[in-house]
Amino acid sequence: MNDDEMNDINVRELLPQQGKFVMIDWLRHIDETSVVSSMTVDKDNIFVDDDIFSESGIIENIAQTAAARMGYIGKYIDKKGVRIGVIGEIKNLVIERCPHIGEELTTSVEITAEIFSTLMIQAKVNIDNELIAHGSMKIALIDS
Amino acid sequence: MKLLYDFFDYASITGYDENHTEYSIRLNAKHSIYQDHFPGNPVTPGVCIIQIVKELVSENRNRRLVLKKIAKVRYFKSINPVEYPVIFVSLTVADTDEGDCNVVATVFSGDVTFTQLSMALGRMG
Repeated sequence: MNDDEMNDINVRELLPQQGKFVMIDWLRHIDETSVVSSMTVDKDNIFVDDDIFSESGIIENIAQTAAARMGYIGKYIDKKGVRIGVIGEIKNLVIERCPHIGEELTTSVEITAEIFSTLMIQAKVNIDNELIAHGSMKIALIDS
Repeated sequence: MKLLYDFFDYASITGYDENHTEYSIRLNAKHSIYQDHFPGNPVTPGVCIIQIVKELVSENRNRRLVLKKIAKVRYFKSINPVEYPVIFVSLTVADTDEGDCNVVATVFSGDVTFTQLSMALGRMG
């Protein structure tokens, strides 16, 4: 699937999170070792307080970017259902600043290792060319 | 996002000394977050545990703090709010000369450790 065709994907079909807890809007790119998502901060977003998108929202956005890649592989390649992924570990994650309403986050996740049902990732969150957060995470798939 | 008095509430606070406090908190299993995370399978989002600790430190130090850096957070077991309506947070806070707070926290219930956190909070802006 090329990057233009990604615009037809409804990320809600790739994630176990639903409703107001979906923290990415679009997938922009997927390949063997990486995934890129985007999200514009809406005033009604549950992580917004005083017009600011919280640090926990940024972390959830990173985790869901990785989870969407798992969901994509599950749906389009393995042809199985969406499994629940939970954060197992967060390490050396730095928040430079929190986004404001209307700003668009572009989140790039590199898969550094994939061992059974665990994914090790390195993430960068940008607003335009400004790096606002970066760090690494371990995401574990659980059977519900 | 503010979770205190909505997603969770204090059950008790035990201050051991200026830098070490233990909270027991009550999770609101009826909160809408649990309907979406996940439908039919309520699990406390890992990011909400970070948020809860941030809010507890902010209350403890009586000022608004932001998360600047996570050294390490480890999630050993997910928290189902029906199975564990009350959980404990042991908090150790060290104030730096720059006005930041270095925080080490453990979230647990009895013998079960759910989460261990080590992170730096700083002032807003």
